[in-house]
Amino acid sequence: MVNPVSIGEQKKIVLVGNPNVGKSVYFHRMTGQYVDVSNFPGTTMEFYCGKLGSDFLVDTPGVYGLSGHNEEESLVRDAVLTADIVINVVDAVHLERDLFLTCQLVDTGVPMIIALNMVDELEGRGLAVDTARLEQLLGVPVVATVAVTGHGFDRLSEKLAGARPGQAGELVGQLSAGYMGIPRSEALFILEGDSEVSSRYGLEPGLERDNIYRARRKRAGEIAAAVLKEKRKDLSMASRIGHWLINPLTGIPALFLTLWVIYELVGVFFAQTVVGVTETTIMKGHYEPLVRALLNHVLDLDSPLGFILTGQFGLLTMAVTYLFGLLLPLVGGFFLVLSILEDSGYLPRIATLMDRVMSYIGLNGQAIIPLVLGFGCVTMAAITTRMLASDRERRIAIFLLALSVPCSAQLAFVAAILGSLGPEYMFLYGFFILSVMAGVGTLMDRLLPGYAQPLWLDLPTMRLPRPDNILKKTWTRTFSFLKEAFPIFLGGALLLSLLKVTGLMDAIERMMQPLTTGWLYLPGETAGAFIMGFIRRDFGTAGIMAIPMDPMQKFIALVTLTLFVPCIATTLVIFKERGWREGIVIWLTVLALAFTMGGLLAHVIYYAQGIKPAMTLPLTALFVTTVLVLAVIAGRWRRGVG
Amino acid sequence: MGIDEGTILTCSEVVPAGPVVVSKNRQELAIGRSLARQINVEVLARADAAGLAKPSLKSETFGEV
Repeated sequence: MVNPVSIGEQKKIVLVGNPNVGKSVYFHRMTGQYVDVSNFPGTTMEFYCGKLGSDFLVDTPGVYGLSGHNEEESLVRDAVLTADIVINVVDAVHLERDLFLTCQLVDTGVPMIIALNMVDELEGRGLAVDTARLEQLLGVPVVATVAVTGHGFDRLSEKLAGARPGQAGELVGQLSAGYMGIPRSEALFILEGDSEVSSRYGLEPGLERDNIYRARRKRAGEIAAAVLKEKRKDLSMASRIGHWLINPLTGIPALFLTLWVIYELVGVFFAQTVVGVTETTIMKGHYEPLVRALLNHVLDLDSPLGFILTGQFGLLTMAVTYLFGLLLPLVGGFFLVLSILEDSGYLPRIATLMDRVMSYIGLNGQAIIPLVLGFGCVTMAAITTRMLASDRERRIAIFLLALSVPCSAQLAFVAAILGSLGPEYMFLYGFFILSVMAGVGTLMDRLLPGYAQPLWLDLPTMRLPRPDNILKKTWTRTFSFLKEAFPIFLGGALLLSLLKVTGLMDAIERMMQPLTTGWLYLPGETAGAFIMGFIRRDFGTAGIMAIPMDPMQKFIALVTLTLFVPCIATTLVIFKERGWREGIVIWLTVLALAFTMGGLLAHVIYYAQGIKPAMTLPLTALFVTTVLVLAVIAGRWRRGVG
Repeated sequence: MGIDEGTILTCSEVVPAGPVVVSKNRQELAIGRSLARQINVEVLARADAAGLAKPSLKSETFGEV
């Protein structure tokens, strides 16, 4: 823990740095507040504020510059303009890249200090950095640290009081003389053509951006060359593994191996072994009978209140069992796997390997990161789409997330249901959902104007994930999931029970019959599951577990609910990210597509069953493949790409 | 990213039909194929010519990015 900087008035200290340099680890160490930490660019998309003694510390999203190219840059720029002290976190392994932002911060004249992070990794890779020389060239204090171990934090605390404005670049020094009476920092942004800052002073944006940037890039390169010394070749295992993972010969088998390990861990160990104990043995075997036995003494379990508390959607039975017996271990399992993937640095390498494949759906490889994160939480993933380079890609990625990526909570129920149906259904489910993603993505790529932006992705060093961060992150996410889901689950269960007790459920079921029984070939009771699906897809999916259905029907219901509208939290994020008009279009289109594709699947399955019952699933898979191929051909037609 | 006209880089991987991965001072950057096509490079040395172990490695100079 770092001690407060100043005595007297409260100071605003801002952490600024490139993406994935460890700002959030600093924030956690200095304030004691945990913020998600991963090993890929773009983990922090919001500002976080924490107390640092009598001062306060602000954690900001990673940016490469402060030029208002996007919303994050504008917000970080304003945070810097209003800061008393800036702690510029610099990744020693990416020194040359990071020094561009550092030089820009120095040019603003804000009092600052440089926290040089990951110096251990730099040394491990055969390089050394001369911090004294760096301090001399920039004119601000530099402290070598290793944030994850806390190394150097005592010195950071000491040197923080000595934060000072650095030596501006020569060109900036000359040019800013023309803006007398305007603070140095704001004069810089005016010179760089920042229209927002210029308008605050009623001035025209300057035209010096290109010249300043060129000079700054040159200065950053010269400083890096002066302070970095090569001691030996990079023979680290992390580098070798990093290369194996992007080489298709080794990377593709490694990807399949990873997917298999994830399946074994989540789909088999957590979904079957752990849930077998928590749901079947503990909750259904001991907890539920105990609750019923205790309540039986005080009320009639067949009465409306008894039904609400312990019936089909019992508040004290079904809701609690699903939450703690099924969701807690499974969501925890998913977040554990995702945390390991995030911290290892593997995700950007999957992005590199999959870049070509992703280009078919109008995205570049980087979009694989939000899509994979969506399997943890679609809401979080929808925010992460901001890391994508163009609006077109953000639109496609958000739509695909809303339509075809089930979150960990829904996957928990999906895994439980598919586990009971068998591996052939599991395969067809995965194949169908991926085909929908590929088909819809291809058509969007065809229909939306423009092309996918080429990949431009920084590959972080491969690291062995730290168990303390993995466990902390898994627990934080799982706990916040439970906190959010618990009242919604109870409310949902209460609503369903009330609908059932009052007879309204029968009326809704009758009203929805043309859709449920007529189009989807499902029992009328599934209407309740779809109603709950509007609140949370996972709760809707949980609803179909209790309804007696044949395997085909369960499968159709599962697919329809996977493609169903996202939960309320995700919907709100989509509205925020895309605006309410586009948000409504996305929501309604997803709803229409879910029922359309679910119904088409039902018709194909029963048609195939009519031809040859034993071949139902293979024939369905064949049909899905044919449609996908047609969609890809339609998507590529006259596209002239690929 | 620290890459400008005249920067000397090492090409550490070319994913077939996919991105090109370049490195400098232990930093690695994946560049999509369509963008990589637009960058003029001048080969300074090839790993096989330099007698290095990995023949697919080659050093190239980048033009303007």
